[in-house]
Amino acid sequence: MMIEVKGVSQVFRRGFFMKSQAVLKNVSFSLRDQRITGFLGVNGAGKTTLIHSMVGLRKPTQGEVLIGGQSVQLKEARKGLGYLPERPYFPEHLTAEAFLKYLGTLSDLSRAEIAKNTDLVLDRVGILHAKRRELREFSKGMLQRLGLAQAILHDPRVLILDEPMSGLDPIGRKEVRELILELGRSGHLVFFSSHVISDVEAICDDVICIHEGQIVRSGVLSEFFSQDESHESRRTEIAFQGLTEAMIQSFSRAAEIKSVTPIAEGFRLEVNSQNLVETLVVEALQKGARLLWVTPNRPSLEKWFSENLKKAPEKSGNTQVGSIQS
Amino acid sequence: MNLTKISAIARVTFSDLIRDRVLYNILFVSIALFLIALLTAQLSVLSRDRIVIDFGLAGQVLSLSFVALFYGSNLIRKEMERRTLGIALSRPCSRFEFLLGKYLGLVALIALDWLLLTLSFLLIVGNFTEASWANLSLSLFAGIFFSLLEALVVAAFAIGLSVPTSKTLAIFVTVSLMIIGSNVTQWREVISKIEGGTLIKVLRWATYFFPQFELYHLGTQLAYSVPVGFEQVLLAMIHTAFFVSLMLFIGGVSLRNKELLS
Repeated sequence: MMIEVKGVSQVFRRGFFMKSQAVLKNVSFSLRDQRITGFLGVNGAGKTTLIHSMVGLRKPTQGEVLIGGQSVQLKEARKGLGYLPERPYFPEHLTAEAFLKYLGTLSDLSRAEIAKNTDLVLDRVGILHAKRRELREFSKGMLQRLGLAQAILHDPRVLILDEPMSGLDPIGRKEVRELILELGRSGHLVFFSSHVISDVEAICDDVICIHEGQIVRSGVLSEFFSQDESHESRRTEIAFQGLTEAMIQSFSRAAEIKSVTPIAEGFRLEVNSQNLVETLVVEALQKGARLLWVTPNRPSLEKWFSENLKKAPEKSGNTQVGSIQS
Repeated sequence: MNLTKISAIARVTFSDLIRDRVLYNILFVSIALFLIALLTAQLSVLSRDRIVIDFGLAGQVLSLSFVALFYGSNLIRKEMERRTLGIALSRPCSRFEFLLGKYLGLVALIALDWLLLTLSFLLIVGNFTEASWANLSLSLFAGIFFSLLEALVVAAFAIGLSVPTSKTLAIFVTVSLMIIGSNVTQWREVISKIEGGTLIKVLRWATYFFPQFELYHLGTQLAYSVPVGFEQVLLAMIHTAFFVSLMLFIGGVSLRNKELLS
């Protein structure tokens, strides 16, 4: 077991009268090697607070976090940990190389290792060309990549990334997704938070969902969204060119189509079942239509929560994520 | 304690601080103070050299204390606000090492400031006073050295107090301690003249626990050319080492138990 979060509770005292506010309530789960786990939750659900506990920046009010069996509060345990904070700020006066040299030293790397790994990780995140440039000249996307580079500089087995896709444009998001996938494939345990379902769907093996400081659902991705009572989260949009309304009505399962909308190039159909997508595409192509796009439409996390989780009973106790369990 | 990590933190801190424009403003104002001292001395009939030396030394103490106070109180707070602390402390680096590295980075800055001011001051004293280079006595060098020691203590107080409290409170308490500590003998005399019971005794004892900043001020000794003994220098150094260690320890313990991120 690489990471164990054991009964973590966090209480903050706020305001003049130091009123206590429970931000995390008895959170427990464990993560294993070589899995990418998405950590979903709306803003204010407690994602970042838990991540701070997981990287040793915060001592939980109750409970503990173990990495490889050791408390994360110990320096030794943090040797194999890489962390990317949300909206990271880096010393602007340093060059990328100097910044990584600094963090490499803090990670117990030798000079030779730092020199070797710096080029390697900068190349991996695609900013090797900017190695000697000051960070004040970096764009937001480049800084995010540098954030990832510093997280993997010492080749940690565990990577904890707080909203790694936040603030990136679509191309940047795609590239970061690919990088996370690659890191997962190369044997790292990747745990990353997001409030965007599609980001999690695209790359995760497992999902943990937090709401109001409690883990409300977790499991393998393929089973995760299929647990929904509503079919809203499985809605898919298909667009065809060269179809007429009559042709659509003649489909064998036309009655199951949720909506038909005319668009400039043809028609856009919305369906709820994956199986229906296949049938419609095959029939439409046989009728000589041209497929324009097939897009799974996912609801926003807020909508998904309101539809699926608010009525669900709260879970407590330990949650084991990952298909390999001991 | 890992010295490699501490020196890496100190280097980054120094290179960050040295780029701050406020530092150059402070340096500029300090050198301007030296020149004002020179002009003021021209208005005096007697002891012109004494005025240049006293003003100059006071300007140097003021400048160094300001750098120590301003940057010291902000050093860890800025890291917390910028969230740069998280990246460093999520690595195998203890909070004590981090604090010590930050302090040493500031010490390097103070030392550089001290060196530049000392050179300017000595050049002014050597070239623009009546006794010229003869003014450069061992006592004067001791006074200059003491200004550095004082700044190191001020910086340690500013850092150590800023962690458990806030930047403003750290500045306020440090300045208060500087004022009390610079006049601690007078306080003790005043207290001894008050008739009272236990409270007065406690207050009298308390004056011994304040940082004795007056140890660093050689005003009368310099004015009357009384030599500064080795014991005096040693005492000032021990005092500096004690209060720097104490305040860094307090800062380190506070940082270890502190919620770094809200």
